[in-house]
Amino acid sequence: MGRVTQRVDPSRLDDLVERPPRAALAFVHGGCAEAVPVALRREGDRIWIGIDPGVPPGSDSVPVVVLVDDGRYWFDLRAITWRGHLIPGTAPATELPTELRWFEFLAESSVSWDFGALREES
Amino acid sequence: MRPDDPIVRGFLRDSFVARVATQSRSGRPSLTPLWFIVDRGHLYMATGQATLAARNAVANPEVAILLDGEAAGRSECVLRVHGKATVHSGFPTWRVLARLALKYYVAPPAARAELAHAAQWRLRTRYYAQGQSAVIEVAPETAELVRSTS
Repeated sequence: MGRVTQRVDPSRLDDLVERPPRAALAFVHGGCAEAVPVALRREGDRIWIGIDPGVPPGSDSVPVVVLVDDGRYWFDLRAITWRGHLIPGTAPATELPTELRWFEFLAESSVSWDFGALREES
Repeated sequence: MRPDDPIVRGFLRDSFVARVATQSRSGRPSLTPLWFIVDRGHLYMATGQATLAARNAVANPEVAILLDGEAAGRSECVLRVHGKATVHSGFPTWRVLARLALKYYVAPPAARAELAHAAQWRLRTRYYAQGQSAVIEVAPETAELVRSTS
């Protein structure tokens, strides 16, 4: 028997990324793990993260994790996480909340899962 | 806010998924969505011993947790809890297990979701059997409302 997995190709969660029900960012600040809710917009292959202006991280050298997730019950749970860095700079072209500070997110790796797609690997 | 503030209790009651921020031994952040229940003021999250969340919480017990209060509808705020985690190997206590089962498997909306996927239960049992269980217990130390940005 093969291993049972909930992992899916990130492309299967495109709808989640296009309209994120919940999006959050984690980073290390002051030696401790920190988390903040964020806004996320994707334009083509580029991802933008909107953060409350009063919130660190302020440096593009800080590694961060972005999580977009959905669902309450076991078979509804699905999520995608990316590791990467935030690059301060221009905002994406789409209409965005101006009260947020926007960063481009440079993803280095991602993991995605969908418990509704649980299956045995061949 | 104190962890026993009525606003905090409301978010804990109305939230289904806790997004738990941890950091690895080498200082890398991680963010994991986990089911949770509250018992005697502590949060309990069942996971696997090999998961990043469990390994990180062993290495660095200080964690941050975001709670949306999604059962109460969309809010302009998210609750952020900072606390200290303890990782227990093995299954949750019967008391915690019963609360997890009630919240996520037995309550009417949960039961409907479960029945709709009855054909996958056996596969789920095999999925759980692949790893060793662990429970992350978090003692909240501070709590604050942060603006939702979605």
